[in-house]
Amino acid sequence: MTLTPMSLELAFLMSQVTYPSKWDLTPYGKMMEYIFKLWQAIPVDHPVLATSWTVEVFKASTGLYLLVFMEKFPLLILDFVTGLLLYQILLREGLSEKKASIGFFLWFLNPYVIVVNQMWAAIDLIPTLLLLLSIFFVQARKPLRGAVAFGAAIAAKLFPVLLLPIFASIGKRSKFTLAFVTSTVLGVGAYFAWVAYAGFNPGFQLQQYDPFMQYFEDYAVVTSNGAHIGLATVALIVVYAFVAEKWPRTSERLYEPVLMAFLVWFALSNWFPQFLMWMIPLLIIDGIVSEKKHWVFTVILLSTALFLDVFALYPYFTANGHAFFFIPADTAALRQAVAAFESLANDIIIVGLAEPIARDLFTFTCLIYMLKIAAERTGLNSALSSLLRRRT
Amino acid sequence: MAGAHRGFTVSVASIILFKLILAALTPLGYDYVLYMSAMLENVNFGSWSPWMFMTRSVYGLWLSLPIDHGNLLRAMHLDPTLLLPSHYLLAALVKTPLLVSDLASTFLIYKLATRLGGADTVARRATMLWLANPFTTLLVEMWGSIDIIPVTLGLVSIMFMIQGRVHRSAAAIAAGIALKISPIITWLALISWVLSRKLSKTVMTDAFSLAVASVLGVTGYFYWLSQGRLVNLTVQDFLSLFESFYASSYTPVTQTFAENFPFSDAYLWTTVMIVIAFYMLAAEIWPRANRALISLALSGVLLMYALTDLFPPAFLWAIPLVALWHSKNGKLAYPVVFYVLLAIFLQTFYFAELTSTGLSFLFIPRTIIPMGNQLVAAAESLLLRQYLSLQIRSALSGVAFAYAACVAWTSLRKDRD
Repeated sequence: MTLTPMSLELAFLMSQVTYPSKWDLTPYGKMMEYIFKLWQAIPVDHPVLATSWTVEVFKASTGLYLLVFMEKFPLLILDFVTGLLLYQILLREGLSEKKASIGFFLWFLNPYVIVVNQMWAAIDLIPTLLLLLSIFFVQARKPLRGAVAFGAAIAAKLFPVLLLPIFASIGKRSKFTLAFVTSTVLGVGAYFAWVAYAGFNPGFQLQQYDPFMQYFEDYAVVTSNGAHIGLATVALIVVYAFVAEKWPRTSERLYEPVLMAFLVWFALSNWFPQFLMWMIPLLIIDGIVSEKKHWVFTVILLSTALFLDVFALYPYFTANGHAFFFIPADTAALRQAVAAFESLANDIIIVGLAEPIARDLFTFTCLIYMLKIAAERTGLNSALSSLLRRRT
Repeated sequence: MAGAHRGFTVSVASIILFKLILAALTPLGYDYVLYMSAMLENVNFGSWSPWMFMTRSVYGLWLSLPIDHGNLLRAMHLDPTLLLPSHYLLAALVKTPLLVSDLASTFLIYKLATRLGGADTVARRATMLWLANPFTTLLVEMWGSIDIIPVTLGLVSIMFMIQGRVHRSAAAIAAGIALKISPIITWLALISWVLSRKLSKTVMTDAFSLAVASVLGVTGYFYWLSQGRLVNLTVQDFLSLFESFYASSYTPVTQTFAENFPFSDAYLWTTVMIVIAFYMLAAEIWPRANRALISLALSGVLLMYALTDLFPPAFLWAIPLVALWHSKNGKLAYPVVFYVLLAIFLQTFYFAELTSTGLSFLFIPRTIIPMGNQLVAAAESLLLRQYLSLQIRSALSGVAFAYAACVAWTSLRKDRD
């Protein structure tokens, strides 16, 4: 965690907190600024960030590494809390303490989470934790608290809004639905309020990026009137309809329909590495709770995703030649490693063959996994086979 | 009971009157302007179409009336203040066959719902779901789309099919296809329906009858489309015509039918392929109950909406089927969500068409509606295209797909033999 200051995300944000900028006014930017001020109060060397820690440069010093540690420390705490929450959810599912502990460690020592959270330092763990908290409360029959956590997750990063139809349709009572709709409205309002407060144009945010998150793209087919049809959106709506029609009206195992929604969404959209973190806790829960060896899917998904992240997005991991997996490339050996890695990532076999195959495998696995959950939980298999049988 | 019947009759009459008024008040309806302009400018566009023949006749009649005829072309395209009362009269006259066709559809829906649902309340509900659907009025009486005529002929065909009069059904669908090739989608449902029965001499005869209908219909369509040149058309000409319509987004299936899964220049029509595959599968598994013909046709049309881009009048095709299906299946959430999204979709992508490029608000000249300019400006300010175009189009597709799946699932479970 401390040795990897060169993630573009962290380095960029740090470059912004040292002088007044829009990013200072975002909730996360504010927190980073407070930590920065706290660091300044500590009696260690304080190099000027503008020249010692940028996207291209990291001039190693004890003081600077301390700052890296302090800035990333909240993510480590959140990581630990997420693990504990997972542990609690697994216990509530009736599993033994041993199995729940396995769940904790599968999260806490998960290579994907370590790469994205501790090394990359993406802030996606905040909404991920809040979303998991919401699922925990709903499953514990405390829907109001679940709704509050859900709204907070949306306020942090808009994507959980995608899950509203799932949450809204599993409740038996209209109060439940109303609570989630209200919290969503408040969450969306809060999200756009801080976006606007920070000086970003909410409309531009929607236009430039997908409203659900930056650089998040549907695989889309172009239509004649200039719009696109996003396949992920289409598939997600079908999952909504399926859950509304066929899913048992119970808050138990809520993580399953939520996981289904994530699976189709990621299967057919173009994601950034940190987005996959949203569903990792759910993959772990389902992998442990299910007796149908669902963990095989999780292994395929995370390994293909990690491969795609590391190779297809290699400039992020090498900070465009300045780092080796976020470690500053300040020695000849590391620079050599960076060059070799970049050359490998650009190899025709990787670009033309391995990456497409990995992407296809990822998509295929997501869809099969989603269908498997749907079939196991709703008896879809037998219903389909009886409906599709040829009439006698 | 008598009171309810009287109330129903009064409601129907009021809606018809309302439609008539709107037909007259909308001389800037998109399709109306299109074919009136073609006729006034004497361009070749569709000059051989049955519709243009009729329009020319009505126009001739109108010209013979001792009234001020003004400059209709200029008024329609540039300056709605030039519209005279006589132009509103002309709009009403030219659109009268559309209104008549709308009424014929209403009658057919009532009859079909009675036959399929039994109770009078079911038939009344179906009638109102068609007649009072705002999209029916928007697309027929206001937009001036002639799609209502093939839609009516499609309903006639379904009616005959359910009555077991397959040859008459074939004749009706052939007429519909000849007028505008779009009812081929209904034809697919009919042939699938016929072939779903156990193979016998009757089934073979019925299928042959429908096959002949499709050939005659398509030939008729291309005949007027190629301005009566069919006699001299070679196969190559025919294919070129076919291809040029596809390439220029003026396709044989209907105007601006756009494939959303293009494969460079290989012309693999994925949407057509999927819809045909759906009907082939349906021939194997679909229930044989009469009601199931409605669900079959509705599922196919919705699948088409999910997979391709169609010009707004194409959304008329599903409305009678929606009315018939939901008259007995009370679950209205899907059509409500679908039509709300359709409204947002039209407002987002067809704003220029809906406002006649700023000259009207929903085809009513903005000079005659209170605060017309402000209304158009306010509607324009709501345009979501630049921010949410992907989501709106995708959501409409997704809901159409889910709706189709729901109808199919329900029918497979409930209407099973």
